[in-house]
Formats: sequence, C-alpha cells, structure tokens
Amino acid sequence: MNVLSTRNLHKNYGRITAVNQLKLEVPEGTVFGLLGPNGSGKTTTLGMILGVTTPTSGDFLWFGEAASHKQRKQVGSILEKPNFYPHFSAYKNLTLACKIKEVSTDRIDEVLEQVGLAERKDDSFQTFSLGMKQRLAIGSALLAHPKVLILDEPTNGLDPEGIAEIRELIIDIAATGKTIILASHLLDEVQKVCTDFAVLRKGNLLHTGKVDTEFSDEAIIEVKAEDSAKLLELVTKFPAYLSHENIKDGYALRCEPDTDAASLNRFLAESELYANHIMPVKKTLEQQFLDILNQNHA
Amino acid sequence: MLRLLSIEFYKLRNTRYFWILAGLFLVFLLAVPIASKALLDYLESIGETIFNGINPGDLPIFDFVDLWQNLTWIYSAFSIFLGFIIVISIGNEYSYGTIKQNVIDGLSREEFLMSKLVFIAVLSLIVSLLAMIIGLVMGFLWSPVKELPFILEHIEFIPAYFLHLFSFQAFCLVIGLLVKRSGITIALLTFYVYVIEPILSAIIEFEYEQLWLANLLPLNAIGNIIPLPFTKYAMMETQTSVGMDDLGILLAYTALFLFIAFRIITKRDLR
Repeated sequence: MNVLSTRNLHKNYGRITAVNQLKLEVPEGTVFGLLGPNGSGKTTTLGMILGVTTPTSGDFLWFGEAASHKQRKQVGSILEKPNFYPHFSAYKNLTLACKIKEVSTDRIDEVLEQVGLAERKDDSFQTFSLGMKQRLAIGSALLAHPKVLILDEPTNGLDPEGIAEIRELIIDIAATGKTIILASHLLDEVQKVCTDFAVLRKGNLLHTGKVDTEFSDEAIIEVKAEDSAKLLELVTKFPAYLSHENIKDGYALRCEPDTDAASLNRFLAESELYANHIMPVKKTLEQQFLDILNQNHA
Repeated sequence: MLRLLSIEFYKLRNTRYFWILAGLFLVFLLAVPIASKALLDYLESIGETIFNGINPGDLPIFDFVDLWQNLTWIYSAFSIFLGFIIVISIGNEYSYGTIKQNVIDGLSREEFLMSKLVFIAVLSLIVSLLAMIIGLVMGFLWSPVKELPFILEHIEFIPAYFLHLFSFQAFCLVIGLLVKRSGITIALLTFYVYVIEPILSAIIEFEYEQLWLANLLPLNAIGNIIPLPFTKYAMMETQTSVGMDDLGILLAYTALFLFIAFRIITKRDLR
C-alpha cells in the first residue's frame, strides 16, 4: 500500500513554478529520500502534503484517502526548522502538541528519553542548541505513534556530532517499521539513511528508484600498485572491465555488475602484479545523481 | 470547542504578556469606579458649582439606570488592552512558526482560527460579567435607588459591552493576521485607534457634516453600541439606549471581520 500518493500536485508562486505536476508514490515501510538541490521544490512539496502550502492544482492521498487534518495527526513532521514556543519548557511544548494531536500526555517522558532530552525537559526551548531543538522536534513528531514521519533537512546546520546523532535516531526509528519521508540536499545522507529515493530539480521529478539496487548496479573497485603503467595495461584486459578513472596512485575501475575484488586480485596475481591496495566501493549517490541530471539535461 | 479553548488558554497561560495585560485590565476595571467615586465625592464636598453651574458630584453618574451606560462607556475606552493580547498572540504564532506547526501537527486552519475566536468570546463574556458584578456592587453601595426595575433598566448595556469587546477583538485579530508582526501591529493599532480614526471621523463629521458616514468607520461602529452618555448632564440630546441601527452596523462589521479572518487563514500559505 502507498502511504502517500500525489496526483499532479502543482504549485506556482506568481510566474515561478515551484512544483510541476508532481506524481509521487511513497510505499509503506520505506525510508523515502526526497533529493534535490536547494530551491528544487522539496519543502514546497512537503508543505503541500502537510496542509500549510495551498496547492495551485492537483491533489494527494494519505493512506489512500483524500487529505484532511485528521490524517496529519498520524503523521509526525518537521518542516524547515523546529517550530516551538520559545519560552515554554520542552515538556510544555510537547503537552501542547499532545492537546493538538488529541493523545494522552503519558508518552512525553518516554519520547524525551528516546531523543535524549529527559534531563532538559523543564528547560525552556530557547535555551536549547540547534541539535537539541531538532531532537525535540523529532520527539514531538513521535508523540502520537505516527505511521509516517516527515523530516525536512533534519541535519541542516548541525555539527558532525549532531548529524551523527540525528542519523542514528532516524535509522532507529526506521527499524521500528515506520515510513519515513526525508528531504535532503545531501546525497550522502540519503544514501546512508534511505531505502528509496526521488530526485527533484526545479520542481520536476527526474527520477525515482531504490537506493540499494540502483547504486550497486555496477561495481567500482579501487586498485593501486607501484608500477602504475603496468597496472593500467593489465586492468584494461580484465574481463569485467568497463572503464576507469585516475585516482591518486592508481585507478578506480568501473566493472560489470557483481564483480568482486577477489577476481581482480587473482587476475593481477596471475600476471605477477601484486597490488598494494584493492578496495570495492559502492558507486556513490553523487555520481548517480550527476548521471541522472546529465541524462535529463541532454 | 472546549478542546480549542483549552489549547488557546494553554498557550496564553504560559506567557507573561497575557497575565500582565489581563492583570492591568483587571486593575483598571476595579480602579475606575473607586477613583471616579473618590473624585465625585471630592467635587461634591467642595460644594461649589463648577462646569457651567453643574457640580459633577451631584450628578447620578453611578446611580441605577444611568450606571450601566456610564460604566460600560468608560470601560469601552480601554478595550485596547484586550486587543493587545490577541495581536501579540497572533504575531507570535507567525514569528515562532507555530501556526505552521499547529497545522502540521493536525489542527485544521479553521480550528486554529476558531481557537482564537472561542477564546475571544469567552474572554469578552468573562469581562462583561465582571463589569456587571462591579456595576451591581457599585449600585448597591452608592445608588439611592435599589429597586429591581431600576437595576434592570438599561442593563442591556452589559450584553452590548460584550458585543463591543468581541467585535473589537475580532477587528484586532484581522489586523494581526494582515500585519503578522506583533510589534508593528501594536504601533499601527494604537496609532489608528487614537489618531487616524478620530481625525478622520472629526473631518467627516464636522468638515463635511456627514455624521452617518463617520458612524460607519469601523471603530465608531464598534464604539457606538455604547453611546457617549455624559452629554445628557449638559442637557444635550443624548442616546440613552442601545440603538437598533448601531447594533446592525456592529453585527455587520463583526461578520465582515470574521469573513476576512477566515479568508486569510484558509487561502494564504502559512509561511
């Protein structure tokens, strides 16, 4: 079942098209990455499906039903930045969220524990660091046992430690079976956290796919040896060889799918060349992303 | 409704500005009768005739029948305190981004607006009931006539005061929604209430002699439901009851404010 389907969702700001006839399906149980540079329409799309931005045309279904505010109670969301009453304590902010979502306040302590803010629950929101604010927002989103979590650039502006914390939290939450929609301009983040992804550019949907299959399609193997001229000569004769790129002291080989590093190692050894570095690398999302952009640009 | 009221009250009762403004207003509600009674007693004690041969101390200002209109008219001049509460509350919701978050969390836009309106209605009700209680106490203390028919005569100014409060706060709500920033709205509102509309009103009324048109200005419309009572003590022609035409204009304006507020809330992107 699809948690979310958008049907030709469209938004104009004056003459600018922010989101263009978007058709998106988010299957249940996925961690769905919405990927695109700043200004590609990610936040506008999320704003529309969350009822804060009015679509110019088109509509969307939550859980297969026409959208209403009641469904939003089953969706935990952060849009752009954590929005809370600055003078209220963490606990009071979550109490208010419970009143709006019509759920009991029993879970507040549990949720604060989960996001690591139990000790700061009586401190006012304005005293929190950005990372803590972001965690409180995720905590608030979890209050009502939502089926779906929507996170818009959840690691934006955080320090490396904060980024790691938030990503761990997201992965933990995903492990509980919740569907997560994550908007990000960080390719790396989507690759690390998501199972599925969609690429947006200038409001257009360029591509959707699965992170696992799309990025392990072709094997990339890094190889280095003392005699790099001979190495190059040999690797081009490697049966699974497709192409190569120069890297420091060696080459990154693009090989046929499912080529393992051991077969390359054996091949080189048979020709009496001993590599001092052989490492399989997943094709990065960055490359995939650029490929997609290039394909659609041409 | 109760849920929406509890949401709005939870927001307000955890802020300082609400208690300060509500506290100031309450102090003022109590201070007005006490201070003016003291002043009237003092003037009476002087015993000389001032103000064209009339000593205000001798006038039945806080006696039953006259009391309701006099009291609510004075009170109505200070409704801006309550207006500030709504304006700050709306401004904060926008500047904190919490209006957006409330909607994301599952409040419909209409519910968000209703939570403000229900709160305004309840606040107006409490304040007008308080005014009635204060009026009754004053009357029983100071009025020479205490018979029921006199007490009830023109007690209609209490419900009129309620309508005035609700309508004025609905007006402030609309301004707050339009401007979004509480500081600017407070300045703008104060300037409009005490400078722009009085001047505009005076020009229309005295320069062009179109009183009916001046009465259609929003604040005049909101205020005219309780007409200025004190002119009657100077033997001038004075309206001493709630006029049906004034009521109609006020209700029409209130409906207009609510319509505009709903349009803004449902049509505008919350960003």
